[in-house]
Amino acid sequence: MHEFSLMEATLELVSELVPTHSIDQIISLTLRVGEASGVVPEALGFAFEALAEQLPYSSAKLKIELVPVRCCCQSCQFTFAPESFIYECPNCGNLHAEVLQGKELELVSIELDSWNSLSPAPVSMELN
Amino acid sequence: MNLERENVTQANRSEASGQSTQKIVVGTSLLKRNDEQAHKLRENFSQKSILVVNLLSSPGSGKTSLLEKTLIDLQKKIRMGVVVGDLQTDRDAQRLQNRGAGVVAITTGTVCHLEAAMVSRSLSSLDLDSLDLLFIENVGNLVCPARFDLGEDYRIVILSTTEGEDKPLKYPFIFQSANLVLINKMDLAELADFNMDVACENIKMVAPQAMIIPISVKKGLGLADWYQWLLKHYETKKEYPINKFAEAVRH
Repeated sequence: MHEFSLMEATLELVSELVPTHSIDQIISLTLRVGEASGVVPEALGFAFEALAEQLPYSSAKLKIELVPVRCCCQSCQFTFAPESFIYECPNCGNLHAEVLQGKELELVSIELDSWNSLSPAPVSMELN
Repeated sequence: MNLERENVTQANRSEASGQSTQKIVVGTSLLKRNDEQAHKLRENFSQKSILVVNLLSSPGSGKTSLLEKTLIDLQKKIRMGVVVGDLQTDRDAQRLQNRGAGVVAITTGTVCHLEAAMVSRSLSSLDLDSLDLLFIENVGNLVCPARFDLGEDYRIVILSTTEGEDKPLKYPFIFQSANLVLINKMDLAELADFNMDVACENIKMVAPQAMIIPISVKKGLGLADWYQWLLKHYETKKEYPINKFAEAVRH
């Protein structure tokens, strides 16, 4: 369950990016997870539920965008989507391939329920 | 964390549903903190020209026995240190004591892999200036340690014959990150119905970049090749302390 450590790192990142007074306004976190990232999306979801339980945004949703693997053959430069974790080039049969995408593990964005929530003070538009 | 504000606060108002939302665009790796810490470790190791090797395998494949033997056999040639990770107990560290090397245990508690920050903290107990080679014995696990860079130069995955020859296909990520695969317990290969040709083929399919050395720690088979590998990379490290490639492939 290294997904737990990764989710802890994610939530730490969130707490650094969202001002304290807006943290309960988080509606969703979007992650980008590559199919060859070595991470199981369901396990990330489980870790998120367990960790977010204690947080002001415990009802926030975790959205995960899966990124399929794409490789570039190091011999003939053919670009392909491998069928398994054996990155065999369908063009020339070479096994040495550079992974172009599919290893991503990123916090893409944080969605808040008020556009004003990043202002320095917790004041709503109407009051301004 | 040192994120640039411009990078972060690209507002995206959407009021279609009558409710305004804002999107903070982040685009930051979840491994950022670990990668930064690993980078610092790597810089430190490079400055001191220490070759650093991360040993990975499933539990019971022989990481600690291999180190016990290696520390004894190479102690007259190079100065070695070991960082040993385990969930509980310092039993492995105790096994490695009094073999002419500095040994420090990391007890991770419930964490199933080592992280760069844990290694960093543990180093205060080792005298890095008196080391040529540092082994990091990771927590026995073929899944979780794969994505955590520890500032190492090389990754070595140990596969033992009793585990079966299909391990590389079942756990491709860890093998894909290996520079060298040691196939241990060769003395038990026949008893375990281990097919060496199939094992090598499987490793080559998922990890064509990895070199393979068959060994038996118990019988001393293949250890000369393993020592030669270590000493060759130790010489290279002395000559070229900065290993940019190691970081490029792990981040």
